[in-house]
Amino acid sequence: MQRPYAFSEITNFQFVVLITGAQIGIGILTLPADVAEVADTSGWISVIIGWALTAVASIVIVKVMSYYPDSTIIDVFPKLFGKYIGGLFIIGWLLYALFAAGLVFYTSIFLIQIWILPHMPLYGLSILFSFPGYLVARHSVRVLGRYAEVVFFLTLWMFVFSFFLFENIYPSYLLPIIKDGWIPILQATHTVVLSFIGFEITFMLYPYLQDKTFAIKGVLIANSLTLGFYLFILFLCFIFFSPYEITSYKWPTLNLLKVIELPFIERLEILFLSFYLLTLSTTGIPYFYIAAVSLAKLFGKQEHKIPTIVLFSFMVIISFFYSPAEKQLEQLITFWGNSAIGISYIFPVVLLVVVYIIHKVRKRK
Amino acid sequence: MKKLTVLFILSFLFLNGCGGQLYLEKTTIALMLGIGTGEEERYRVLQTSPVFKEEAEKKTRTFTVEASTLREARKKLDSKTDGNVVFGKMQVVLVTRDLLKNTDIYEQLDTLYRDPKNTVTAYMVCYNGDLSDLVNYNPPDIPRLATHIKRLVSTTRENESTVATTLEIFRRLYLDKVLTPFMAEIQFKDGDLKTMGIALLNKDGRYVLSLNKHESSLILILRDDINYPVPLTLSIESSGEQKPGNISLDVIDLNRKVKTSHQDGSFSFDIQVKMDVNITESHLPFNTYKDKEKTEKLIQQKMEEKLTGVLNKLRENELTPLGFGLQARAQHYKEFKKVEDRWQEVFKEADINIDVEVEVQNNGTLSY
Amino acid sequence: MKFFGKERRINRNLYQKLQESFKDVSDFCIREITTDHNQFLLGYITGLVDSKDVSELIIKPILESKKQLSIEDMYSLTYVSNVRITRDFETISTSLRRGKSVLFKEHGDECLILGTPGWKERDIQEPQAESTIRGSHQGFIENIKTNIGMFRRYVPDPKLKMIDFHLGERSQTKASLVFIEDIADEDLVKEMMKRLKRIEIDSIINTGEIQDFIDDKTFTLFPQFLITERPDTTAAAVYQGRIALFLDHSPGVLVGPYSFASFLQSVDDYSIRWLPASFIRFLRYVSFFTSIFLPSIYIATISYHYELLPLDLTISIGESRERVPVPPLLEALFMEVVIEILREAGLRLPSPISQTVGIVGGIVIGQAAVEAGIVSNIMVIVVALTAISSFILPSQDMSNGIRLFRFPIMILAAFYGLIGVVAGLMIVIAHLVSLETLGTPYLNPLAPTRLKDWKDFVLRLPMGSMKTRPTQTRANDKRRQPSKGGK
Repeated sequence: MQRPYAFSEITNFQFVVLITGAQIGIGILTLPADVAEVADTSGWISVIIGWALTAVASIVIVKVMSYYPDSTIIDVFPKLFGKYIGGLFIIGWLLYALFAAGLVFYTSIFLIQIWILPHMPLYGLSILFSFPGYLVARHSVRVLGRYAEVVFFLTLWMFVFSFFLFENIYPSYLLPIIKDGWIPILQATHTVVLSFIGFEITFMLYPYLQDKTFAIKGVLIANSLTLGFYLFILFLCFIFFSPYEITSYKWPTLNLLKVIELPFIERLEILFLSFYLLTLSTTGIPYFYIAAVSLAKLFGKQEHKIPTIVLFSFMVIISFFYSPAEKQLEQLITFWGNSAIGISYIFPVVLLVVVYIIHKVRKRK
Repeated sequence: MKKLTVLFILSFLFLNGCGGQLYLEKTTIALMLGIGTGEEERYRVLQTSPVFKEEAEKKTRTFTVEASTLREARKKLDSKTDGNVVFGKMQVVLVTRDLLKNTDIYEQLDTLYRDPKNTVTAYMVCYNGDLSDLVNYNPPDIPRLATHIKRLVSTTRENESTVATTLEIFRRLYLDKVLTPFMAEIQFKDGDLKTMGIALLNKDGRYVLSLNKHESSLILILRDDINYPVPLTLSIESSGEQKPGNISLDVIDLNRKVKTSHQDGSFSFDIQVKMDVNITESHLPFNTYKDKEKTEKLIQQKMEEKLTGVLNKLRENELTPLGFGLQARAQHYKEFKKVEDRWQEVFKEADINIDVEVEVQNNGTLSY
Repeated sequence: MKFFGKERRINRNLYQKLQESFKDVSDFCIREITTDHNQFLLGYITGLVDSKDVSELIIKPILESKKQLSIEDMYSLTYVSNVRITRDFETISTSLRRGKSVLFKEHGDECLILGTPGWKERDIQEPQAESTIRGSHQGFIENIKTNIGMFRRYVPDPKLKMIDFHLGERSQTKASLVFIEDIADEDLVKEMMKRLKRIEIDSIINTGEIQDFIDDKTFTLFPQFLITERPDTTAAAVYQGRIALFLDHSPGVLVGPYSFASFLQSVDDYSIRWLPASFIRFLRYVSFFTSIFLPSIYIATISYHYELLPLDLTISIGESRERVPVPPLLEALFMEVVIEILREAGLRLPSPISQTVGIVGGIVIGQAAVEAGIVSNIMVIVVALTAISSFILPSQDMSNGIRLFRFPIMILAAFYGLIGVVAGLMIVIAHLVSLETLGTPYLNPLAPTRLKDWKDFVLRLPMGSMKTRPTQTRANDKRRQPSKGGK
């Protein structure tokens, strides 16, 4: 049988950066404050716990998909549950992806309005980002993968500047390692886990992966890269801001950059946030892609170009009529976050059980 | 594809004029804010900004307004200048000592922290004097007062005689329960602006006392917040001599260790300072080269005496700019948590030992 | 012409046909060669044949012959090297139009086609647009045979293949697809042939015209095939598994697949030591970004983000901007357009005049415009730097494309500041990742990331370390150096 997704195979590295790109997003800007709120500077332990949970969930996803090596999750749903119930699942998956895409899209714009262009209307920015978003999302996974790779290399330089921060730091802020016991640390895991969301795109990527034996290693590497990045930022924030100060910022990571002054450039947070949009785009675009592909699947189409146009136009049109206030956005994120935890951590386990039973039953027949 | 590209480009026509551009040459860039006491519970706010016009003779314009908050002041300044006043390139925030005595200045600076467009790297400086003196102070060789003050402070900081507290650091000091804020202090002396040392604020953000440059160096040594070399001049009475002799040192390496211990709700600190010094000047009546041990011992005693002196001065006033609390927090977290909110009192009562060890590394080119 | 009317012994058929077909073609000429024993007719087109060859190699042997000669005899007698016998009129007619002479015998119906082409040709020179310091100084000329010959000298490989065909319905321009059989990927060759066959046009004059037909994507500013006039560049590319297309009367040879990274390489990189070569490579990548983004970053900074600059710079820019009445976007657009005009003006003029244009333009832009307060002097620096940056790129096609990219991004910057610049960057990346050259990813080895090929990417590591051919070409034989690596 001709493998349906062979035309757009992705390399191992593309697989890794696609997942890492989808994981690293808005979360890291707020994460240090969110974590410190609950677990003080011991929060970094929560991040490691979150990573472990994520690693398990990712492996479960790979296990599920390895039963269907030539299908994406939206091909699996009809196979498992029949046309109509499967269709409902696809709609659910579509709504989830669309919600995620929309939230990344609007939160990015919101951040820009707060930090960089306070007078820029919402629709102006949404038109601006729809175009490059569309240019990538309308293509196949392979192009998405290449995009993620380029962004990965183009944003690496941003780390260099963090070394200029090592002037006013107090590593002793980190001590003692466990401050108020393990309970707050475990509580903070809830927040942390949200920042790891994004690995569930493995559901869509798996059939495209050239070397299927790499899948488990791939998700682990991707998660660890994310972990490394989060820990780096977290430690930087924790030793720079005092524990009393850090919770008073909404986006401590940006406040951190605000302090750096170099002879040729100052106010790095403006530069960084602008460039960080590249990273944010690798978070949003896969979701747009997933939503568009699901939409195309619902209508029985192979091409997802028209759905992509429809989705981005939808984003632009909404932006003309509705601009969410900060609190509303926060509520939406909380709502989405809960469903994301369900879909990324609990659903794969359930699905694995279902798939396992079905395969056992079929084998017996 | 082509159609979409065209559509994308056309969409900019709608956007024309609503992006909120702020052309550089049309802004009034506030380089310095001076905040002082005004009438009726209000503040006097002074702002200096550069003039871009080539024809203009003066390179700086200075405005003063009275307002009840900083943001209101900015609005009032807007109407006085020909461009929008922006705080994004602020160099210095001057607060008069009088104001600091009566107000919690941190609360007043709220807008500088809240609005992300504003900078947090401006220096906080305590100004001992009248704001109107600054308005009238425009010597021809100082075209921009703000940068002048910033350089004044940073050069003094490089000599380890004052601190360079930025808005960011000020906020950190203010919010940290174990620290109290401090900032550089300047004042007019003989018609010229001059860095005086450090102004220390208490936990409520109010001015308590000033330290002179020598004491400032000691504070920096105790904070382990120094860049080498640290120049020090000590006057030492050696036994058998009536007149004290001076000796100048460059501290080229310093190692400060704080040992914390805890007993029955009170903390004690053992501070060990290890200094490597070069002798740059000596008026002592003996051979510092031959009597290395003696010299070291004298310096050691003198340093211990001086450090203890300045420490006691801080403790009397319940000031904790030294940050020993950080160690207490790191090492005795549980006990610390209990007294966290009244740390200044605890520190006042704490048992502190200072132990200095000096090693002369280099005596200079002379053999006596 | 009188002569033809009288003589009846000559092959009427052929003669008539020729006369019909070359009616009103004034440069067609038929010469009668009559001796005591023989009567031949020789037809050719003046200007396409070497008259000396014709008289020395064809006419002279006939005149000197003492016996009766048949066409077959002539085949062995003539001194012309490229000879064949045919009876097909189509062939005869085509050969005539390609600069060959035809010789026919009075009674026979056969005809001898003699390759005596000869026309004025340019000498071999160094290609002006692609001059090198160390590399060879030969450039292709307007003759496919000479060109392939020059190229051949670099590639004496037994597996070198050439597929000949004609392009253009009317022009029937000769073209030749050249590759090394056991290196080049068959699929790529097939794909290339498929695309070339798709071309339906009356005439092809220059290699550049082919490009538009065989590009993977035409709505782009980036070149997907290299057009070079250098035999050494072509040879190096073919050795890497690429395919070259030679076209008659065009000094440009089309080479593909050619990736973005290859466009920023030059032959000189390999003839200097690897450290300076790497430095120059790196500079090129920096220039690539500067020439696209520098003016937009400047516009963004002074219309939105003055905070980014250090204070002293802010003040000096403010002072120089103060006199300029127009917004930064217009200022930049004006300067950019002026530079483009100057560049184009200088390009086509004879060099003494173009120098004058350069000097006048430079002074007008540099001095007078600033003094008159039309532009600020910082803008002059920015624009000059941008222009120079775009000249550092070795490929003309690439730098032309990049120059155009600059304008939309400048507009984005004026509307959205730095955000617009980044959005522009996103568009550039999105566009580049979706581009393909001959079905292979354009951004290889960046995306897909092939770390092995990074030895010859932003840096050029020593030749010894490049053990494999680039993955771009999907070469059959991946091994470049016998020891390790590859298969």
